[in-house]
Amino acid sequence: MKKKFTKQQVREKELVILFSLFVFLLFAYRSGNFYWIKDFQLLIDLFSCSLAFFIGVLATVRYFTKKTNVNYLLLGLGFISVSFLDAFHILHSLEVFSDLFTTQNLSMFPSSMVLSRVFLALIFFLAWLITKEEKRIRDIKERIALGSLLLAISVFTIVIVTFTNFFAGFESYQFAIYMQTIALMMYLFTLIGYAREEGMYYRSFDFWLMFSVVFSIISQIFFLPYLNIEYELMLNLSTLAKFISYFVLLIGFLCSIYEMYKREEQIQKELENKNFLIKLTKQKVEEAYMVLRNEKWKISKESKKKTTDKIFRDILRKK
Amino acid sequence: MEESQICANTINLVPSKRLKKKDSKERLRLTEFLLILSAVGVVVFLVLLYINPSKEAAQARNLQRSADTATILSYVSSYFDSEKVIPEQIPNSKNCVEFRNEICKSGPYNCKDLVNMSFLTKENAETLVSMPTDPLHVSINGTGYFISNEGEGKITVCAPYAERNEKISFFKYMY
Repeated sequence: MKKKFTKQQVREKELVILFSLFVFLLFAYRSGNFYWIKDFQLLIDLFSCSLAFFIGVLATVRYFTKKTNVNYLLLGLGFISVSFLDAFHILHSLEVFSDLFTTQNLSMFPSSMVLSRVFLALIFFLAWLITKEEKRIRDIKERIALGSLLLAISVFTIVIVTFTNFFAGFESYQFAIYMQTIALMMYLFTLIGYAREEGMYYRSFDFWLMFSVVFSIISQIFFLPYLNIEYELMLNLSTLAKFISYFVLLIGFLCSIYEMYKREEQIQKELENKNFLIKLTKQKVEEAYMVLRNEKWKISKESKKKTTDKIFRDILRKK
Repeated sequence: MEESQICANTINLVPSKRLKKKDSKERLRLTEFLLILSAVGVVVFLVLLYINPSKEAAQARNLQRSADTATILSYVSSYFDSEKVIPEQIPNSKNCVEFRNEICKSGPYNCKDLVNMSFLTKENAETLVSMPTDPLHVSINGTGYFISNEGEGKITVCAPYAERNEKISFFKYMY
């Protein structure tokens, strides 16, 4: 497959990702004194939920428009499911809808938030695996290595969270912590996978995908109690990073669809040009044929001229 | 000899392929330099967020604010215990943070539109040596702490300049 972008262009894209990340972290560092609106998380979650649904529909439509990449189908269905999980979390968090559920909001709190995040991480990881499968790159060893590493880290995390007091004070969040750490690892491996694949040289969508994965990783990091910031601020920033991740991916899908239509338009133009050329050639051939017949008619015998004349008239009339 | 000079000038005027290559290489170097700079910035901010010295410092200052407001309130309480009256200098208002509710610094300061709490810093042995001031708030005459009498003997002292969205406010019913 021929490379679509130069090394310079790819470097510029990487710079965009890193610079955005840098700006976000700078904002996070300075945000301690900012006044956040009361229901910031719920509001952003609501936006994220709508975006996820929109992305899901768009990705599914993109897949069925041109069935070139199964990646789109998986991401599409994944995002639709994530939007439903997010909607469940929002409804569960609102007191207005508390009668709809048998469980209390507080008893479900971190788990309802974790569900969609872990599921999305799994979808991204599977999407990367499927992309590799589709391209038929025979690097089974690499996949097995990454899979085993993921499994080992997952087991290690579960053991650490369960049997040590490393996360003392977060006992009620144990499930959330190890699920989120596993999700973080899945995102990291997906990013490593995409980076190693060098997809940014071939498809512009890969840039948006990596951009989205990077912000998902940041969202996970802020969700876990690794950083020295206030709990509420941590959740706010994590939700904001998740929203940015979804937003970036939506732009990616829109760009991908725009590119597809542009390409179709270009092909249509090329086809029109070719048709015009064919028409022109056909005209030239007919003219040449007529000149030839005329010459033949001129040199034909007087007795046969009447019949020849009739044939020519018929041809000209048809023309 | 002349011919060779003309050739050299001509070559200089027409940009050769080599020059173009150099230009693109320089651009690549600049992008890579910016890339490394951004990566370093990301790592630095991650480490900063892990240590978060600004949060630690803000928390220390907030602790001092809490101690200061509690001290002021306790001294007002001792004054009430000895004099059996709420000082009339404390303004009556429902909100702690209001214009004319800021406590004035002790010493030669102009206390116009501020609460003069000099009754706490003189005469008795059990009084304040000097009125504490907010560690960050820069004001010529004010301390950065506010006081109000909300009625029914409720005195509130608050520190509105507390950092990282912390609310520091103490109240006590005098009777």
